[in-house]
Amino acid sequence: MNASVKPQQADQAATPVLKERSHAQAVLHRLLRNKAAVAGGVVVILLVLVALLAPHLAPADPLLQDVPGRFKPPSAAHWLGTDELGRDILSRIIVGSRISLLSSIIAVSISLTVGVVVGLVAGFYAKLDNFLMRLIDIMMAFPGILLAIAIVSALGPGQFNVMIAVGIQVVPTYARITRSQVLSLRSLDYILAARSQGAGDTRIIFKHILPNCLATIIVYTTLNLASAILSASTLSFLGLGAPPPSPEWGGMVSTARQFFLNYPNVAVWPTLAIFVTVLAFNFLGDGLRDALDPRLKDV
Amino acid sequence: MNAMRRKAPALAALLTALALIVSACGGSPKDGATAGGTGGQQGQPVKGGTLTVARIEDTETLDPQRTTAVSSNHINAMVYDTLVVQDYDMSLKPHLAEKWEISDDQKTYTFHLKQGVKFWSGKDFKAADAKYTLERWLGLKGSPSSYLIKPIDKVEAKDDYTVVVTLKEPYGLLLTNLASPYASMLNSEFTKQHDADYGTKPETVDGTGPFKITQWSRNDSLTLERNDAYTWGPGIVQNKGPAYVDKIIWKVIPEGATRMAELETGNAQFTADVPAVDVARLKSSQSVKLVEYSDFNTVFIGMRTNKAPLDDIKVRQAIQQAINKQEVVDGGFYGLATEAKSPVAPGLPGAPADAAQTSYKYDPAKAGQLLDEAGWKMGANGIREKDGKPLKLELWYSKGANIEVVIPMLQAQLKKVGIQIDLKQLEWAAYLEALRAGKHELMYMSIRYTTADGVLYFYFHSGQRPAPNRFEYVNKSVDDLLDKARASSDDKAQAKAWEDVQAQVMKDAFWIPIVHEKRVTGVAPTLQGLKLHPANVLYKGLDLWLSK
Amino acid sequence: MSRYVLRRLLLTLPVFFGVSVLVFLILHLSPGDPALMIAGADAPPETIRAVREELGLDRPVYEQYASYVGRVLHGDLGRSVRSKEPVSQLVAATFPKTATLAVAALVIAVLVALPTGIIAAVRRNSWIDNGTRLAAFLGVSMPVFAVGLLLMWVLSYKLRLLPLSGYGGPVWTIKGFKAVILPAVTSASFSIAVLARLTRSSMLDVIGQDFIRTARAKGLAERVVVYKHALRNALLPVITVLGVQFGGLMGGAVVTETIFAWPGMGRLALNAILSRDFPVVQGVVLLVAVMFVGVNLLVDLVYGFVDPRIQYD
Repeated sequence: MNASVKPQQADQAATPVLKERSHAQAVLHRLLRNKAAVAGGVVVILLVLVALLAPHLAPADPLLQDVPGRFKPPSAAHWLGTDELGRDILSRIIVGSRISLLSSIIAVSISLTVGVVVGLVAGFYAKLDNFLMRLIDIMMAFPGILLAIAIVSALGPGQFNVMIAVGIQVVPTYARITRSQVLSLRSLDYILAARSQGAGDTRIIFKHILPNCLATIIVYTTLNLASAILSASTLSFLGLGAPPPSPEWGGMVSTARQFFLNYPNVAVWPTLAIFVTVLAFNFLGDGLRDALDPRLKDV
Repeated sequence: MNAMRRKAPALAALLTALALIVSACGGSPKDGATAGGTGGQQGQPVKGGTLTVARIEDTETLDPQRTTAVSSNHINAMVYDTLVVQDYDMSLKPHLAEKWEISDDQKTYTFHLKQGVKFWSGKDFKAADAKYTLERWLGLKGSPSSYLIKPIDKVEAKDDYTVVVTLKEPYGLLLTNLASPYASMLNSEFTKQHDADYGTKPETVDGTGPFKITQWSRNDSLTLERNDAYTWGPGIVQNKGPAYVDKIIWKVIPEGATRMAELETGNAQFTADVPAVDVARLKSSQSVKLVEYSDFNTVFIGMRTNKAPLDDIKVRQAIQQAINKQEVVDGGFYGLATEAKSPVAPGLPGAPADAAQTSYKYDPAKAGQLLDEAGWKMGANGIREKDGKPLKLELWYSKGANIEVVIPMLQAQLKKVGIQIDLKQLEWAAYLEALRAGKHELMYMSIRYTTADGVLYFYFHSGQRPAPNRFEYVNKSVDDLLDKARASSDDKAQAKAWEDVQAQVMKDAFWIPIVHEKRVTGVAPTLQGLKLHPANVLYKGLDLWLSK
Repeated sequence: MSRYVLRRLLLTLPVFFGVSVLVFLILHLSPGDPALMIAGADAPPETIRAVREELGLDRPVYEQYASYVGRVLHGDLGRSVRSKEPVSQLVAATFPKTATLAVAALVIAVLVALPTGIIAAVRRNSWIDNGTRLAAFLGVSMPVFAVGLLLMWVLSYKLRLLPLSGYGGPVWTIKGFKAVILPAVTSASFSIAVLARLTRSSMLDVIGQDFIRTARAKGLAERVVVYKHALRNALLPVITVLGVQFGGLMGGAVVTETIFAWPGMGRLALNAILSRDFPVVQGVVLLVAVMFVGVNLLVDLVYGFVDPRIQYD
């Protein structure tokens, strides 16, 4: 699931440090010129707003059952129809956006924090490098989806455990990206210069190395938010997600796919919600990458 | 000293009941004529053809003593034979044992074996094989089913065709358990020779059944081919052998939608696993007939009686009356179930004649009143409270048909009387362990059984704690009745004891029988001679044939 | 460099050790008792005790681990606690099916992704380029199960062109070939998108570099420039990612295998995890680990070739 990551770390490392305001402006300018990225960004902002305002936006109680009125096609009363318990699908998707967005953010935060720290330390301290990277190898040697299944299976089903499983899955990617960034920066002139001026490790890491990795990390984080949603929905699909009646998107699809041949409507909407969200994050992430790494534009 | 002594009195009533059970569902005209029922055949059976069966999960092992999985039983019933068989009405009939005698003290069973029965390998089936089979089963460490014949003291081969089984104490369930697929007769020499590998691949299996296993690709397909030497079919089937179809291929298709699509597109001719939600759509299908049958099952909620507030019988009674079973039947199971009024489903000896008498009726007002009496007053947020504590209960569950609809529905029903239900779904493995440890308050599960003992003794005898008696239910009179029923050789007294157990259990209100599920199978129009067995669906497959 | 390779190979030993400890720990810390799974939900306590004893689960975890390692070192992966079948046999039966699916998916991915990526790069900002990029975005944004169900619904259920599910035999038979198409395309959909994007950006990257400008300046034909000079250089990162993708596919396309009832290692592992069939999970994870470590080593080496700035000291 983390395969959307482009292994171009080494190239981007050559980008000069992004400090000056003019540079940030240039990045923003380039980003705004990219229509897909703007569209993705707008959708992401809208999604965040929907998630924040969910209880006010939802036309009905997402848990309110009306069994005789179930499996209804879209109508004026229920814009997207009703599900297997007669609940309003639109309301469930709106309220579910909270769960889906929040859990992917938490999952990515877990992998980001752990992965970047491990990557920084491994890249900077040659002595620890081998040890840490072997640990990362061990994690990577576990096939991602099986690791996630095993973790959820050990912790028990539930949204939070899914987040941990999804988060841990991507730790190695962050660690490796960060490490290779650090490796290619470590011996660059200005780092050597800083060191010769007596800068300590901490200062070099946080002042010189981390800011240079930041651009890459931001890009991957945006893209990873997308893949985290996909991973979580995959686990839900395999029956390891949040238990009902929580309106989590992946869980909604997982339940609805049983009715797929009979009532495709129930499955289509949450799938579309996942698809549009992931697409928006991908557009935005890709746009950010282009904006932060303008070399491709100079060709 | 009569072979058919047991179960005989109940037979007439049962036959009537079961004639209705195995019948085409929905009542659309094209369903009724051919499928189900005893006489469901169009024209003369023809030989040949390959029958493909689609199913949810694969067989675990072909060693019948090492598994209790339904998916294994289906295959084992075709590959092996047993001494005794259960008829379509669950009464016991002879098979490899032509007849048997029971001593007056109920402790010695003498079986006379059929002659001329051969394993595929060519070896004759003899008393030594029966003796070996039972002894291996009894002593097999890690067998999940050996406790079923635990009262056996010793097994002797008196001569080549006579086996004598001696019991430590009278055990009314011996014959029933010898009719289970776990009691499949093995080839003594062949099995010894393959030891631990027995049943792990086609080459390490030998049986006397009407089909030989020729290919097994795990999680994919298992192929059975006709045993042309087979002529010793049991009396309960029309065709004594060999079978009509050349091959039966069992294909594993876990996804419900895929499985049904395979059937609709004609790639499979039968599935025993039709999701309830598909039934309405398939009723109008030209390519699939739906045939309903009943096994004996109960979907239930059990309460942990030693945990507050469930230790208060008023709370338990309130929960019983808060459950709207009819809504669960119509909404949760799409109509493919009947309201359960007692632990044992109607049709089995021991099922109460008038279950409505002891069961609870849906009455939310009464439930509220009981909770009021118990001191649980309605709080501001719609959840009852007592001493400042809200009435919250955890409902633990794992898997089961339609749970995604049924569980939230039960939650909503209990909410209406002011009980907040927190759902706790676990994976099956974790669920079983948690229940054994007694971590639950309410638990949701379903059980299949072939005897009343299989529910009542299992769940309600105090010796069955911590599991399967996961309710901490201890009642001396119930224990006594259950023990009495087990040892009893009088059908009437036995059934009465089982009925009394259920009356007491319902009175104590810790166990809610919710529904009895109906099973629906999907059948291609070409598949003829279908008669579904409550315990083994396609059973031996001897009468099945494919029309062009 | 060869010293580096040797050292890396030696260093894989701790990885296998770590993987085996990790899988052992996860399994044994998971709630759920294999003995209960075998004996059934309702078995009496003495049956469960007997089963647990037979499986050796009554012994302390470290003892179980030690005896497990001892057996593995002798080439014995143990037996499935459920089916009693040797794990090596189970893995040997499912591995070719997973490999078939993975290779087929990879072939499809390469055949589709490389040409489109190259053309998109060469005809930058043309409709082909924009179409490819959009398709790639859609590809990485669709949940795999949605792709699978959609393909199956249209091609198998409605049009009845291809088999719905199952393994049809070796790919060189017509039945086997037809059966592998949908699962392979489903598995490949994600890789196609990733590889097409990567090929495109990698090509653009190379085309902008000095040596290509020089080649052009020397008056070489555009075709030669693109396919001889640029492509060769652009393919290196693509191959790297190809390796990662292949590793992922071999690790088991659990979702694809579930939807299409494909009897591969992914489903074997999923079922084994859910039923607490410890020896099977351990066996599959170890095998996958061997492949992953191999692929990782290869990837690291290729990184070294691509970017000399990374030093192996």
